[in-house]
Amino acid sequence: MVEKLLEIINSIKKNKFEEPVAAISPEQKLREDLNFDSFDLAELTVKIEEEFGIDIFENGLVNTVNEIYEKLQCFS
Amino acid sequence: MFFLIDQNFSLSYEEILQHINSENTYIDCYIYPNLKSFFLNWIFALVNENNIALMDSDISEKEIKANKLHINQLIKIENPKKFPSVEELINSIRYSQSEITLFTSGTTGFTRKFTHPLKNLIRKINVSDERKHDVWGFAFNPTHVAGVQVFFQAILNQNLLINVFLAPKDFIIDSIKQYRITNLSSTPTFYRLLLPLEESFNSVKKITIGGEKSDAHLISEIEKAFPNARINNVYGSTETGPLFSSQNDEFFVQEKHIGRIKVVDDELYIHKDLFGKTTQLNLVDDFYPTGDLIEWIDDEQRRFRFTSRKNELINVGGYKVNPYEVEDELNQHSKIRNVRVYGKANAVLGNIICCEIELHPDTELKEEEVRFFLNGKIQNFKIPRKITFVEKIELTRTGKKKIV
Repeated sequence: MVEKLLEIINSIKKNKFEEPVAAISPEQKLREDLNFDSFDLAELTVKIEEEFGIDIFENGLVNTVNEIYEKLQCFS
Repeated sequence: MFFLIDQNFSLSYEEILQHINSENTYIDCYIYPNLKSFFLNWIFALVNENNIALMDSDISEKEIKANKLHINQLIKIENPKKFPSVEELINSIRYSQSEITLFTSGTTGFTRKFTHPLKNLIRKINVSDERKHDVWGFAFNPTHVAGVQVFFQAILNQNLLINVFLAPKDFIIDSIKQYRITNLSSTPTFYRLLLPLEESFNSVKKITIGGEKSDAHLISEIEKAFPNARINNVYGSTETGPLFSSQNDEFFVQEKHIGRIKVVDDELYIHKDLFGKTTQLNLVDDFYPTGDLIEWIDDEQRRFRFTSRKNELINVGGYKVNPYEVEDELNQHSKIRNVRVYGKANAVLGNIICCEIELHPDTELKEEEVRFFLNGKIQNFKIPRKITFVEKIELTRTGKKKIV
C-alpha cells in the first residue's frame, strides 16, 4: 500500500513537472510538505479511488499521509 | 489603518491616498503582478471616473488573441483628482460613474465580457457604522463578480482585508485568529477545503457562500465551525451581478421580485429590471434565461433550490469549464483520434475534469504527455485530472458523443 501510494503521489508530481519524492512518511502534510494544491488533492482522490476503491475525502478532507493510511486501513 | 494584509505585503488607507494623489496614469486590462498593484490601479480609475476592465491575471495568450483583447493599456489622466483625506477618497469611489468590465467564460468556451455601471455592482453593499469594524478574509479572485463585491463592501466601510485566496488551511486559520476576522466570503469549495476544523471560531460573525451550488450538509458543517456567524448563501453571476441571498440552500422569491422572475422548463429566467444594463445579454421577452435549473420547494412557488446547470459547463472549484474547449485542444494532438471530456463529482472541488482518449491505431501516449501537451494552452483548472485511454469512445445513436 505504501509503495502504491508513493507511486500515485509521484505520478501527480510528474504531471505537474515536479521532481518525484524518494519516500513518504506518515507525518507529511499533503499541502505544505508535498506542495499539493486543491486540484492535486482532487487528482489524488480519484487515483486512490481507482486503485483501492475508497474515496478518502468522502467524510471530510484528509491533511496528512498518515490520515490516508488510516482511511485505507479501515477498509483493508 | 490598513486596507489589505497579504502574506508578502500590506497596504494602508494612507498609502492608497498618497498613491492616488501622486499618480496620473492607470492600466486598463491590467495583467497585475500582485493584489496591491491591482487594487491601487483600480481605485485610481474609479476615483477619476474612468472605465476599467478587470482581467484575470492567469488569462492565457490564446484567450487574449481569440477575444482580441488589448491588455495592459496605459491610460494617462490629464488632471487627476486629489483628495485631502481618506474619507473623501472613499466617498469618491462610492459615487464614481465608472463602468466596470468583467470577464466570464461563456458557453462557447471563450471569454465574454460584461460591463456594469458601478452603481449596479454596489447596489447590495451595506455602508454603515455597524460595518465599520468588520475584518474580511479575502478568499475570492479579485476580478470575479464575488471578489468585486467583497472589495467594495470592505473599502466603502474602511475595513481591513486579509488575503487568504488560495492560501493553505493553516494560514487561513492563523489569520482568522490573529486578525480576528469577522467576515468570510467564498465558494463552497473554499469551505470544503477549510473544514473540518478542530476548534470553533467565535470572531466570525458573517459567512457568505457563493459562486457554486451549495448544499445543506456543507452549510450545517460551517455553522458548527463558526457558531456566531450568520450564513448568507448568495446567487448572482458575472452577467447579472448579485441577485438573491438566503440563510441556507433555499432561496425565497421576495414580494418585489414577483413577476420579475419566472421558471421555464425548470430554468430560472430573470427580468431585465433586476440587473440594469442588458445590451450584452440575449433576452427572451425581456427575461434573461440564466441556464440555472431550480426546483420549487413549496406549492405557492415562493421557495426554491438550485439543482444544476442547463448547459454542460463543469464547475470546478468555482471555475466554469466548457468541456468542448478542452476537447478541441486535445483533438489537435496528432496521436489522438477522439476524445470526450466530462465532469465527475469530487469531494474536494465539487467536480473534477476527466477525459477519455481514443488513440489512432498503433500509437502510444502517456498521461504526463497529455498534461504536458495541454500545459500553457489552456488554464490549469481546465486540464483533465483523470485521463483514461479507451479502445473506443461511446457514441449515441445519432453519432454524438455520450454526455455523462
